[in-house]
Amino acid sequence: MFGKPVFLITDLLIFALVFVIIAFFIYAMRKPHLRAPWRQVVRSKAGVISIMVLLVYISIAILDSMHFHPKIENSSVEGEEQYNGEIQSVFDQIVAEIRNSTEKTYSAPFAAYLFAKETVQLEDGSKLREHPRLKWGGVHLDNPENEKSADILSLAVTGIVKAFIAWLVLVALLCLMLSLRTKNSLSTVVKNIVHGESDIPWRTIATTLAILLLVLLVGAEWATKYHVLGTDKVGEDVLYQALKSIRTGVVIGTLTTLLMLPFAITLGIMAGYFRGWIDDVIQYLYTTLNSIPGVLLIAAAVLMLNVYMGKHAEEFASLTQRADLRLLFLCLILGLTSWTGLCRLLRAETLKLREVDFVQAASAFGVGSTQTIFRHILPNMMHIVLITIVLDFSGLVLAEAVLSYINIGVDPTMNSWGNMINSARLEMAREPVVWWSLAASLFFMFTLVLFANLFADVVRDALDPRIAKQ
Amino acid sequence: MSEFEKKISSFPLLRVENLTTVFETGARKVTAVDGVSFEVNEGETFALVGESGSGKSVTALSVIRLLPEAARITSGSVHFGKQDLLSLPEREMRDIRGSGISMIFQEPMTSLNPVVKVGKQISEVLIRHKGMSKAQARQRALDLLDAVNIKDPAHTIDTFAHELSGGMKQRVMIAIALACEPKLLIADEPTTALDVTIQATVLDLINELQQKFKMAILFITHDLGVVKQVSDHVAVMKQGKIVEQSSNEIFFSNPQHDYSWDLFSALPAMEKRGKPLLATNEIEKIIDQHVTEKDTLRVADLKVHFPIKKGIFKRTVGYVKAVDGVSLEIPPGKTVALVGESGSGKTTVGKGILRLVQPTSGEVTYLGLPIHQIDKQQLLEQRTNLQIVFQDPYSSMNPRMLVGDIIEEGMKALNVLKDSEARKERVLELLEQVSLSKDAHLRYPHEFSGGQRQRICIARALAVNPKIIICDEPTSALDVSVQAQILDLLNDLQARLGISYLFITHNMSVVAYFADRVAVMYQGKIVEEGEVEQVLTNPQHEYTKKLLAAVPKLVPPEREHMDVRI
Repeated sequence: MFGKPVFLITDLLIFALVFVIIAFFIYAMRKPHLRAPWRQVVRSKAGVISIMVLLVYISIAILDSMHFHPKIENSSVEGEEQYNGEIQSVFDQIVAEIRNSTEKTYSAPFAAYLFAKETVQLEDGSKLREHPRLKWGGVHLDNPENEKSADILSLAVTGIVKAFIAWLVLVALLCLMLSLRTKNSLSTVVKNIVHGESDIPWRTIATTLAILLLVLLVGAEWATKYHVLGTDKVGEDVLYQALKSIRTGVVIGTLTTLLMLPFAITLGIMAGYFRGWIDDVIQYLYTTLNSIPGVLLIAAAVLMLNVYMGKHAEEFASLTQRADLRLLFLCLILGLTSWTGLCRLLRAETLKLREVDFVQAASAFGVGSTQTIFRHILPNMMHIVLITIVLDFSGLVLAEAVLSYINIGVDPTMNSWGNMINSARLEMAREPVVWWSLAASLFFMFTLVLFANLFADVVRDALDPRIAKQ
Repeated sequence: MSEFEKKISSFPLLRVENLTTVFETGARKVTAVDGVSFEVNEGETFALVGESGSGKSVTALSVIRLLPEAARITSGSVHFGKQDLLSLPEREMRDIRGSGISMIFQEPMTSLNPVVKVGKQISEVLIRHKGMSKAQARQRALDLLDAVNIKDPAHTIDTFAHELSGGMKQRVMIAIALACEPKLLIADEPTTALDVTIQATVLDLINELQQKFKMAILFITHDLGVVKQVSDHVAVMKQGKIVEQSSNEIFFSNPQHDYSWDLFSALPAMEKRGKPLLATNEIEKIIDQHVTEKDTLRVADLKVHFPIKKGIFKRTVGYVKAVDGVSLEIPPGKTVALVGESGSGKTTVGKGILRLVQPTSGEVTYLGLPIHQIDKQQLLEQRTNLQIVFQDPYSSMNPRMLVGDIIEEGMKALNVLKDSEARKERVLELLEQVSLSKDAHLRYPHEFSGGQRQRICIARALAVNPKIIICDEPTSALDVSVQAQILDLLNDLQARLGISYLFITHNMSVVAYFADRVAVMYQGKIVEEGEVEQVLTNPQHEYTKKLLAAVPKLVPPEREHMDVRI
């Protein structure tokens, strides 16, 4: 329906990751000792709120990872489908309206006029300097000065009504499902939710759902008529940019850890389990890596890649592919510089575990090293791995912003919060100040990092055996 | 003197009435102390006895008001002299702690601050409660260290906790507790973490200091032998309630409550040899194997030295001689006890025999094979004959595996049964053998109590049909009643399957009850070896004599003495 699908490398890795996570949850559901901590996560209020917010982010990221070449309508050649060379994502299609609504240059949030004055030639030939009307934002208004606030309000009301209806439908479905599952009457289920008397905090979930729907639907309603967060220098909608940046952030936050895990786990366990010279080699390796400043290493690697891509321009079919490779490379190099911390933790844990009685018992039965590692050691430190993944996520999202700010991050053509902040450098110096680019990227990044941290906290509390579970 | 004043003066030093302490975690309420009442008079020792989880420590913490956050005292009163402790503001309570009531804890390793010199830790109390100057406090600290029989107080006062041995640390703890000459000392299992010879000296010291300072002691312990030795009054706690309270003489000659009788009958002793501790049926020897010379496991001059390495190139600068020339024989169907204090190398002997640590030198022969030098394949075959059960039932099973898989692991690895159905069947059979329900194989270790876990560990070892099991302190982490169950089980298995045990322990009464032969280990060497009766009644070596003298004597009362039962 959309066109010819394209799979970028990061897309494939993201889908693989989603698949692995789903597979893990299906597996964990059947094992009570694995299920127990996750039950604790979904039973805490902070846990469910952060899961819901993160799900919104992740679904946007996944939609934005389904790429294709769009079909060219009214193709000149009969009977043959032709595709555009440009790569788009499903998410681009959904927000096509704001994607295509470019203005000439800066405009403030909800503006109907351009931000800067321009010289316009009037019909009578005289010239006038004024704020011209936007091509798209608020174009349906005859007299923006008088009508705009009323229009924004009425759009908001429509959004609220839509959100309320959607919320009612979803909550009704939820109640129905709960009453079917628990075999209670519908009224008791509703009463339990309202009074907050359930294992899983359904009341919190319903409230969060209401807020999320409100933000999403009211925002969507506004976005059909206005640039909600203004436009940037080349007139592109800032909201669109911020939304597109979500994928970049999520990719960096997840793929980096995914790429570093094999190093950290294998080397960490090997060092701790076999000790001796293997331990020495691995320790020297990570001490050396650790002593090179990370930023320096990343800068060198990225610059090298730039040179390579400059010399071999013909190998890349499109700008998007090029940017994607650079993103992947950034993940790789970030991963390479950050595995040492987890590796050290796992080495220490393995050193401890290999002396524990149950590992000794296994060797008294002549169980081999490989089996001992996979059966006794690895499962008993998965909590450390999981906690590290979730804790690292927010740090990596922030790292991307910093690296892009100093121009060694993702490709400049790629939407990312770091690039938005980078370009905001000059905007902040303007008079009057253009604040919305910076504010938008900070807000989106802040929300993601805040809820990722909250989630990490809950996960750590649930998984860390040192925190006594009462 | 008015009637009222007389009444006051006859007040006991500590009066606890109807004390109830509840732990609240979320929606769950656990009543740890349930309506406990007792009195401690001036100068007497009151012992609170019970198994783990009976609420004895929580009672003490309630008295001194140092409960963890989740706990709350819901009713009752605690009077210290005339003062009602439960209604005192926290600031005044702080003055009472240390100067009126002080406390010593079980674990001397963790109750001292490792980065502050011990002298300073003692003078801290004196400066806080007595308002002494630094110089005065230091002088007093020296006196106190002298009072707790520390040989060289002038040197010890400037040492850190890690430089002292366990017994010395406990002495320092006592010195801190006594610094302000409290009227009441709460001692929470003060000797449980110590070796038996050190326990004896610490108990003597406490007794001596009690005379000197004329203080009362609330003594908390699970060890009836210690109770017999130190206490004037005894209270037995079970599930948060005091079930019996009487004087020492009455309690040890004619206990009133059924539970007290159970505690006594669970105690292993020489007199009970050959009889089960708890079970009613007699042990019958079913198997009478044909035994040859080869079936005896012989250990000759076993040495395990751990190198001490230093510097970048890890040069070996010396050795820790954990085991230094041990010779032993484990005859088939017999139990050999290996006794010694902590650090004497007994666990390393067990691991050395199994080659869980590689012996430095010496010979281990079994079935004509030199176990110490056979290759990997042969060793794998011998692993079915030699198995081990560990001390700590909590760390000896992988918490992420089902009990069934845990028991099956050895059979799989050693190819004992090739067919998976047959293995499943054998697991169920083993569970029955160690008296666990059959559905246990589908559950996780954390769902079981300590004693049940130890049964699972025994089942795991039995799975590969071993001829010899090395039991590394299998009962020392367990309560006496659970210990009795495990000893009964081991006895029963020996009678039915003809297994031999190398029973590593520090508990002399278990040796007296359970073992056929005993080897006494001291600093990596065996100093005495022989038949149990002979060694225990007529020890030859100095160390054995010292060890036996240090064990608190306790002759369990005969049940026939009992006339009235309440």
